Amino acid sequence: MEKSLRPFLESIADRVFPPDELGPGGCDIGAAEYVRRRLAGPRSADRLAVAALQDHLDASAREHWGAPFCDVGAPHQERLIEAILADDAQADVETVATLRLLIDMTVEGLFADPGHGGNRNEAGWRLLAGMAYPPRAR
Amino acid sequence: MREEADVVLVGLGAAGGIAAHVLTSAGLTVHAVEAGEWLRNEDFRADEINGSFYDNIRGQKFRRETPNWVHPDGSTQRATASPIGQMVNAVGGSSLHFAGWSRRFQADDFRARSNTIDAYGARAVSEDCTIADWPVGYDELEPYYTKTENLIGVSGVAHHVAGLGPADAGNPFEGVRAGQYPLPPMRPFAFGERFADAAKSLGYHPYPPPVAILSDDFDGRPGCSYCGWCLGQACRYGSKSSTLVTAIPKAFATGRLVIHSNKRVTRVLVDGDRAVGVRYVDAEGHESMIEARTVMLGAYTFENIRLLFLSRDGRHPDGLGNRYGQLGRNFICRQAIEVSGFFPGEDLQLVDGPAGQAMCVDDLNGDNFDHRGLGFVRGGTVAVENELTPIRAAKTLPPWIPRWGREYKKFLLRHWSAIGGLRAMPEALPYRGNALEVDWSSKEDGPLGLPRLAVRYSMRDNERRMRAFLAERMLELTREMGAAASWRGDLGFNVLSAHDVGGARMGRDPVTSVVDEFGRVHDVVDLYVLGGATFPTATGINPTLTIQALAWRTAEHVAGGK
Ligand SMILES: Cc1cc2nc3c(=O)[nH]c(=O)nc-3n(C[C@H](O)[C@H](O)[C@H](O)COP(=O)(O)OP(=O)(O)OC[C@H]3O[C@@H](n4cnc5c(N)ncnc54)[C@H](O)[C@@H]3O)c2cc1C
Repeated sequence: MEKSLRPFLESIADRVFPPDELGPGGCDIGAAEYVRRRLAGPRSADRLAVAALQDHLDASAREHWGAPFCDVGAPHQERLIEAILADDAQADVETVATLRLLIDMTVEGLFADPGHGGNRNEAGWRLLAGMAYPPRAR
Repeated sequence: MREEADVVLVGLGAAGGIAAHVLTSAGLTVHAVEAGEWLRNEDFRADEINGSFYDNIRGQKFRRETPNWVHPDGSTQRATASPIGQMVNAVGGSSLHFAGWSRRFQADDFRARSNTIDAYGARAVSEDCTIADWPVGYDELEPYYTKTENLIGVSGVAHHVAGLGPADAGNPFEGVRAGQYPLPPMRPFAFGERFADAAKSLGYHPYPPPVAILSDDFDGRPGCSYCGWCLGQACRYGSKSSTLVTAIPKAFATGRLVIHSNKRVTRVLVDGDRAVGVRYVDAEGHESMIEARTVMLGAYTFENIRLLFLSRDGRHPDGLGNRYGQLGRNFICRQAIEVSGFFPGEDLQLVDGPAGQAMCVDDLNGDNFDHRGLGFVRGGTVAVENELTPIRAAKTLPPWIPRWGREYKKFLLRHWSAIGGLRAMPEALPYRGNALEVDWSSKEDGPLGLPRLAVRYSMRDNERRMRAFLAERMLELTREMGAAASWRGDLGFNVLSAHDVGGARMGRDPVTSVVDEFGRVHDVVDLYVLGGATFPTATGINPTLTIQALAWRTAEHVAGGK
């Protein structure tokens, strides 16, 4: 059976949008759940590529620190992500493209309508202070 | 089952809606077959992901059959995307989701070829370029522009109303108008005012473009609430003047319009050289026919062309309207340009209303400026729009800011309201080799599995130079507006755009065109094409008002002939 992507998506969500003194991180905002639903629904065509990306990151994490991506801690995770994105020329195109796509989807999960699984309790919208959301007639 | 009508309309969108109104008011019975649903305002809900730029849940048919992209030499095959939004399948069509810009074409646009050659000589037009004059002119279309604006409710400010002389307002490049706009322009917005000041100081003539959004209550519909969820979304209040809330209810009220929603036309039926009806499939897959004295295609550029190809028969072995091999040729796609600026420490207030609140200049459009020494002909609109929705804000950052991590979060939360963009709509020219054709080997998704279209397309030098020139002017404008930094965003070169025109070119000569000036297919009697497919040139202006004015003229022509 295919292994769950959930812990991986949660790690990515917090690397894309880390929890810090400015406010909640991507995972608390629900971005990982958004991405999970996308990959199970409208973007199911990308599911395999994301699973392959996870394998790639797990393998690198094991090689360097002897543990899967989810367990090596934020600084190491950041370094692995940076390495893929910085090394555009050498990394295989597919991996770079999938990582970009995953980051893009994660960002959507911060600010999409909560009905899609992310932006829990409009936590993402509330971070964009000054935006008049939820949408309403004026 | 067979049904009979005076006219059968294929697609009830921006063009079909207008035609339905004109035909039914003239006393004809119209059956409209629409592939999408018939929805009410209450069905709509603001949601970026469901809208035109992501899932486009109201455009599932369009998504299942998006054409393939082939380089003219046949070498590359790539996926297509719609950087300025995907089309809608529903009663009202893409007028539900559009931004509402409703500008007339300039008188100059209808004479694009002559004006270019008169000003710069025949050599200014490259050998492979098929730029053409239109068989209709501004003066002939003016009454239809006026009728459409008055019917649907367009908000704008006139420059030159006949008998009044030019005013110190509006667009100085707009042709003379029979009357004022039915509604005043949308309320000013901060970023637009800023653009206008900068444009003036650089010698341009900024004006708020007329839009099909109500600036005030009109014809039983409420004025815009400025909720700011508009581009790529349908209006929950009925303030956007889509055909769903304007032309179509009026047509329906006559009792002479039958709407067959959730039914999809698969073939135009032809007897000899005469169109006699259509075949359609309902949601359960059952086939039926409608017989009619006249058939009008209003299914948007791609589907109009595809249906003409797929309705081929023994007498028309290469498709209807294709006796001289012209069908699908002269296809043109808009490639928008975006330039953004960063205004640190400021709140540009772009969440304050719809994209239909806009400010633009036509000084760089058409032949409104001297092209000598520039290496290209024609031009485009340069504009700013209001409206900033959350996901868009989260993705429109300066190129030097990382797209993830602490830096990203910090910059976004601090500066999201300090970034604003300019948009240009350059006029791409028609070329030999740029064409729509059927890709018989590639099937659409879904049970019918009809073949997809292929778009054969490449960008040419005139467009490259024009884009570089416009981008430079836009960078100048952002600096003049006070941007601390500005950059050229990349909307990506692609071959779908929501301003996809040509492919069933209108012209007088059947050897070089597909339809006549009324949209009538040259080689099939009683078959008409509505929509941008008939445009000989793309112009640097949004197409829909001209599509609707032409649809009005076609419908009036058909009604008059009965
Ligand atoms: C996000 C976005 C913003 C836009 N903004 C602007 C703007 O500001 N100004 C402007 O001028 N233009 C704008 N446009 C473009 C504008 O929407 C189109 O020019 C216009 O809607 C085209 O009119 P049409 O009638 O040809 O097609 P549509 O309005 O798309 O209508 C075609 C209809 O035909 C139906 N159909 C398709 N195939 C079949 C079939 N086989 N059988 C039955 N029915 C079928 C479709 O479901 C659809 O309802 C925008 C478009 C988008 C997507």
